[in-house]
Amino acid sequence: MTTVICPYCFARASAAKLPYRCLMTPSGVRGGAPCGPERDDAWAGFMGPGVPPAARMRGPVFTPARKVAGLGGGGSSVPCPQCGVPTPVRVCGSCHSDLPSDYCDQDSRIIALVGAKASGKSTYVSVLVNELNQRVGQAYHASLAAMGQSTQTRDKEMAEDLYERLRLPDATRPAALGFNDPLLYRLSLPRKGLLGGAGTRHTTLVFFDAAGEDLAGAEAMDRYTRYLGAADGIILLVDPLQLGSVRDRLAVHEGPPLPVVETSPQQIAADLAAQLRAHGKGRTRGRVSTPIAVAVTKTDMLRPLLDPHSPLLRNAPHSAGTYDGEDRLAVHEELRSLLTDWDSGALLRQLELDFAELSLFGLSALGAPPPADAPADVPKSGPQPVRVEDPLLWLLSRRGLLPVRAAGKGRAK
Amino acid sequence: MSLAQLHYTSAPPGPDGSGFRFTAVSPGVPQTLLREAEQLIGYEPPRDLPARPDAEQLKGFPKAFSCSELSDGGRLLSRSVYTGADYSGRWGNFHAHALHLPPGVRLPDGALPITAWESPRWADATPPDGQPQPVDRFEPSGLLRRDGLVAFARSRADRLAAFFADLRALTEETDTRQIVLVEHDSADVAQWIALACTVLPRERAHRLTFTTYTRRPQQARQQIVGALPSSEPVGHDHRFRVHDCTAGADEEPVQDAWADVCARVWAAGRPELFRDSSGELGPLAVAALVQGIGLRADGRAAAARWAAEHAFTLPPETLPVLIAALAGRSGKGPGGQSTRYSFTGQGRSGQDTRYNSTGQERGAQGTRYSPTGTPLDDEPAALAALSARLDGQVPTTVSAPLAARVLATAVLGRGPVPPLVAGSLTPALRAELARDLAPALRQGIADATEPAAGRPLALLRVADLLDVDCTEALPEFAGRIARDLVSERTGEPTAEQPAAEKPAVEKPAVEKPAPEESSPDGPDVPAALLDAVHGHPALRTALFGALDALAAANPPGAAGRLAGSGLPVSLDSGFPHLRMCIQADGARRAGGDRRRRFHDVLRTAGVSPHAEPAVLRTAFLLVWPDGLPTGEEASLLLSELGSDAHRLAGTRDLLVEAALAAPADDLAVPVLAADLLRCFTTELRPAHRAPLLLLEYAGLLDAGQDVEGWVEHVRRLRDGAAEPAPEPVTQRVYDAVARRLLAVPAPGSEAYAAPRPTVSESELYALARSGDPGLLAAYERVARGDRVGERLRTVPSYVAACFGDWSAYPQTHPAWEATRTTLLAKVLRPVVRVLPDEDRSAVEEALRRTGRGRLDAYRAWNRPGALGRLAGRLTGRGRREERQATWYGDVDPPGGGGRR
Repeated sequence: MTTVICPYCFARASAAKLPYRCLMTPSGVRGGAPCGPERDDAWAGFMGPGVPPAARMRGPVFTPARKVAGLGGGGSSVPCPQCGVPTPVRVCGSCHSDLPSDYCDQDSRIIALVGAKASGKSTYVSVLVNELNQRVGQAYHASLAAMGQSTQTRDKEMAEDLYERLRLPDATRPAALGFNDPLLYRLSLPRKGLLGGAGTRHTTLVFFDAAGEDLAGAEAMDRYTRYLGAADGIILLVDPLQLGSVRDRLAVHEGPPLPVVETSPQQIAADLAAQLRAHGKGRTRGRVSTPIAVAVTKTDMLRPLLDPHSPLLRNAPHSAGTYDGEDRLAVHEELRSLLTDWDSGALLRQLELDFAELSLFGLSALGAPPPADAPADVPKSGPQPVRVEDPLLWLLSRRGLLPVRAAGKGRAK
Repeated sequence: MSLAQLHYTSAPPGPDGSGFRFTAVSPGVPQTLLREAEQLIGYEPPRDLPARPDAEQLKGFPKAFSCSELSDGGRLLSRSVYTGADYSGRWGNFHAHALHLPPGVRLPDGALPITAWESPRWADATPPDGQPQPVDRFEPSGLLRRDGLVAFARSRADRLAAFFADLRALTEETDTRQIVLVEHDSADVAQWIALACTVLPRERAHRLTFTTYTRRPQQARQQIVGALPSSEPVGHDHRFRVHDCTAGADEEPVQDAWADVCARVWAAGRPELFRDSSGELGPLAVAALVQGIGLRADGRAAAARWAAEHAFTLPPETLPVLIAALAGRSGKGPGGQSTRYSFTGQGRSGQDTRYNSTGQERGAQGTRYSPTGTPLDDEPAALAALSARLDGQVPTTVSAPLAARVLATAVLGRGPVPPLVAGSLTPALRAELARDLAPALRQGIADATEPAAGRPLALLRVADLLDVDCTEALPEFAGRIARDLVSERTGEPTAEQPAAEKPAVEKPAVEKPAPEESSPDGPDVPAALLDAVHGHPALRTALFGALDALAAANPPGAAGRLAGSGLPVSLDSGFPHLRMCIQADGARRAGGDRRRRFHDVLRTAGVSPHAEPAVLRTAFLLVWPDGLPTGEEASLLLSELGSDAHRLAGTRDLLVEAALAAPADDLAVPVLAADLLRCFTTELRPAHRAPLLLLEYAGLLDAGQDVEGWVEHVRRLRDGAAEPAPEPVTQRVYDAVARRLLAVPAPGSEAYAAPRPTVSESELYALARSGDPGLLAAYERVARGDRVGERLRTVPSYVAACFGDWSAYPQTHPAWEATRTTLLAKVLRPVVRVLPDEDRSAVEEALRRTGRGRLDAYRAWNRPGALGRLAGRLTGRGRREERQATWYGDVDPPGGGGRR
């Protein structure tokens, strides 16, 4: 039985029990009248005050008759009891938000993106999606499809900005402004059955590209509590240029100007752990159970501080379509060494004390620093990302969604 | 009172955070308000504008000026502008400056929110000291000045009405869908909103929520949402009504009259007419017309309706101007063109409303009529109502133009004809109308497609009012009325044309004499027609003449439609047929025998049938509409009026037909036939003559006249006729022959031929030899009749005679043989079997006297067969028959046969 998590209110429900929304389309049958809109107070209440009267009027929500198990195919349309026109649109039973038609056909994994303002979250998501569809997708024989009009539009605009106009995304608006919808993707991976049969495994990935303002303090992060609590994994983006010792070591006259100091990664990690504990994610030993992939971004800016043979400067091999655990360990140890050195290891200690499952990653979404005279632009060569997929692949591998070559054993499992 | 202000933008890290946040807030603003306001002030730059704009380009970015409703009922007035890069160098920053209007609080001086558009009081940056400066008033920007708005409205003239229609539905909450205005510039959206606030009642304008720009209209929470072409499209969403001003305008006319008037007022550059507007259509339409702004038909109708209710509270100088505008006689339209004579030319300022040759108004938005002539809008009715309201209440010089307009519209536009009187028009206008409407009046009166008693009659009344000579059209017109009256087409309004023929305004009916002979169930002659008949002698004469002719042609039909109609036939002499038809119903109701009714009807004609023989036929057909008179009635009609009258009236053949069609038991028919043969000796048609002769001969036979050769004579007359004689005639004469042969009296005759006269054997032989089926059938039928049976049972000699007849001439003709044997077996034998012995003896005695052979034949015929005899022995029938029958007064013999 498929369990669906609403990407808007994070309520969990069985896909078979989700209600449907009539699309109010004419039936085409002579004498048949389409349904009219009805007040949807559940949805309006979720959207908050100020929803105009017309917006409250939406297609009628109805619960279909129970089907005999196995007879109702997943994703099938259900006829509206009023007008008889089939509708494929399911809605969350709690907040009545419309779910993409294929959202409910597979299990969903919510991946929370957390990071300070200007840590590159929006750029990271866009580049990650592109890589999953290109280089990484080819290695794993995987595909990633945007679900829903909102995600598709945003992907299109972000791809235009990054790859065609060579512009970095504008600052993400805080959620309070009401602009940010969750990003929904369907990740399809090959699956080998126990008897050798081949198939496909679909997983819904839900990303939240939160604005830095929403994670800047405990109070702001409170808005994301439910989101974080529902997450299957967290990717914490750490801008190394926010660390004092890194800023001190980088030559000020090379590359673009250093960013303004925002909320420290250590503070964000602490607030994040506190929120997760408050949401029941803490263990008896005081550490949070949610796996967290801590990704140090903008490694291209750290090149002067890295060994020329550092694994952070090249992409993971992904040979034979397996996730390389040994490579991950190499990256983890490299960064552990760096974080131990930076700011006296305060961030690392904070993370290790708060999170039970932690892995460190280093990535560069652009592959090179932005032009010095245009810090909001993409390098003229375009994005050439390095290791952007590692945090997500680690989280997926932990869920058994990817074949893994275990560290030190040289074989996949 | 100082209004709370908020500033919001992406600012460098500070004590209260970094990035997007409120950077300056007036003291005392609660956190809940900030949370709510944050959802209303966001800004996303259009994607089709420069991604890295310089300072000059930033000015060209749209401004999101919004007035939003808060959950506490207050308003948040905000202005968000794009500011490009933030403190960190990242793009996408904006600055929002908002003003909180608590519930019931308005901008300084009660200014409308939209007037604060681009006021210099709005800030593009956070105050340096972080403290918003108090705002005591918002100086309006130059963009929303009157001239600018007028120019803008004219540039969007083809879209105004549709927008105002949606605006009204939105603000009256009959349709809460948000309005999305797509413009290239948010300033244009602001001007749209300014136009909207101007036309709305003040209170509604204050409540209107809007935003001049958003990239995501689907997330906007205001009633009117401005968007750019690059904004996310919402055309497919049922929640929005999109007015895309960057695309072609919708050609479909707007149904909302109020919206159309508002659009015309704006296009005419007279927004001051909206001042103190209550949102009501009527006063706005009146004000527009008074100012010379041309309106659509529904707008003029609304003005007329409102003026009819408030005619006497309007300023004295307003009413004449309004009436002139409604009448289309205002001196100058908005374009300055002359509008001298609107009802045949310029209907309203700026719009050509001339009527085409078919009388239908043309023009894109003019009055439209259905194929049946019913107006689709009610302008003519509204103008007529106003005219009726003013008629006689204001000087004629004031009301006459409107009356003339109404009249002209009615005549030319096929609308309802108003009940105007001579005093409704000035002499000059009457002359003008007479000159211009005369052709249409004559054409309308002659219009054969209309029920004559409907619109053409009303037009005749108008022609009289205007002194238009329509004499030439009267005969044909009266003929149509007459035909309509006699047929079922009276011209009364029907369900399909409920208002076309009704007067525009009900007025007290013209007083007229009491209807003559009006019948409760008589036809409902239109009151207008009765009025016209009473008041228009020429029409009356023509109409009665036509009706008289129709009545003479079809008296029963005319009487059925006109009896009790109340037509005043007594006003003039003549028209005898019409008189008889109208009053025939009274005679019918009076009852009595038909001949008396006939004479009563004849008397109503007022002329002698000898002077005007045609009335005889009319009276004849009125009294006997469905049948013919009896022989006696016909005979009396012939004898009383004489053959000449019937000959001239054409009723002769009716009398003949009455004779021929009369049933066989009508005793007067032979006499009638004889009279007809005598009176019309040379005129009778051959087809009639022979049957009449047969009838006459039947009379002779029944009367016992001494005539000979009955069978041959009848057959000769019958077979010599030009056409087969009618069945009743042959039936009658065959029966007469049979009765004579059988010597029984005719039905109804008192004589009872007790001793059977000697029937010439030659007559019976002629019958037997002829084998004539008709005659033989009649003979058998009469022989089987009660009269013959009665005589057979009581008169033994008649039994002997019949046996003689029915046993005579055997084998002469098979038909006779069959008839004869049938009668012997079926008629005579049953009688003979039950005869008493003495009667049997009398029969045999009578036969013996005629000859031994006939007696032997009788005994042989009467001798029972072997089986009969055996049965007689077994049952003792013969012995019982030998006993003396007992009679009244007999004394029983002593017991034991008298032996002791």
